[in-house]
Amino acid sequence: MVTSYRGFTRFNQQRNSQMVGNSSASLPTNKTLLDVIKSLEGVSNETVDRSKTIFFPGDPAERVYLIRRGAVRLSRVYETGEEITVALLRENSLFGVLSLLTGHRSDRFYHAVAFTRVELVAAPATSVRNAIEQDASVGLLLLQGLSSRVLQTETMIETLTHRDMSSRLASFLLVLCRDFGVPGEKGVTIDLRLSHQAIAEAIGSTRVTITRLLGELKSSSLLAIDRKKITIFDPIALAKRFN
Amino acid sequence: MNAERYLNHPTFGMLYLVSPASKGRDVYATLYAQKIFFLVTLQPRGATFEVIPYMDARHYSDMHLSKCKREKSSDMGVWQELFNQTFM
Repeated sequence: MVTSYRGFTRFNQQRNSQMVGNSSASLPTNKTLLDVIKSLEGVSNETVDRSKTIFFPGDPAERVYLIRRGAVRLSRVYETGEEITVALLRENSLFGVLSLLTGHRSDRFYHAVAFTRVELVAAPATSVRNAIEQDASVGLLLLQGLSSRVLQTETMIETLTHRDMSSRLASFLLVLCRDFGVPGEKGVTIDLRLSHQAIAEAIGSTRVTITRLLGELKSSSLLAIDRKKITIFDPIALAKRFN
Repeated sequence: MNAERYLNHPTFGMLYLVSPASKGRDVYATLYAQKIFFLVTLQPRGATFEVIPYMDARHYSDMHLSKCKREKSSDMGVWQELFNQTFM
């Protein structure tokens, strides 16, 4: 697979300068959100092993995170011990954004766990704020990063709105292909080790149901599972169902 | 076909190849919802992405299909199916 190194160029330079009118606010065509976050004051690079916690509910919300590599799971843990996944985040995702709203005066209510081995950059919310005030292009990159999170969240809501569980699962598999897919000869492999329980926690189902539904998809030759990694043979055809 | 069947976009995740376009570029679409289109230039280290409107993507795809028809390309069926899956 070819890896991309730059985001989308929605506007050409000319149109951009017409729109904005001053150079300091133009789209930073070469800088990425990662470059910006990395250059902030007080930033730290962190590597977190699979299944280790990045922050717990109740921890002070002081920093914003950007995923360089790997996947992060955000979840809610209830007193009954039940855990619900609210997001599985891919590379280039921002999280811990509560700190941007409340500026270290509040506590986390989500549990952030490394779903794979994860490389992160973490920046104090105050540095992010200062950088935005000094350079509009930083604000714009952050806006794009957050917009992308909003879109991801909306597609997840769409997924969860399917009432019958087999459509919900198919839609979720598609989301996972989009975010964690690695193309191969047989199709697209979701590069996460997913237990049936983990899938159930992400789409509000039970392990038993997920096991049954995956079995059905397998026997209809739509996917294969090898050591907890799912390969979808034809994700384009699957996507067509939800178009 | 020189282009990759699938590509990873830093923001939009996995894209799939819809059709070759002009000047060595290719049209890709987002896998989920199939509603965002990109003109992609593959480069030695990665790729550059330009968002294009639906009608432009469809136009490139149409042009390519006509070319395949003229040249009686053996890949015609593949491109026609991708066209149908994306635009019909």
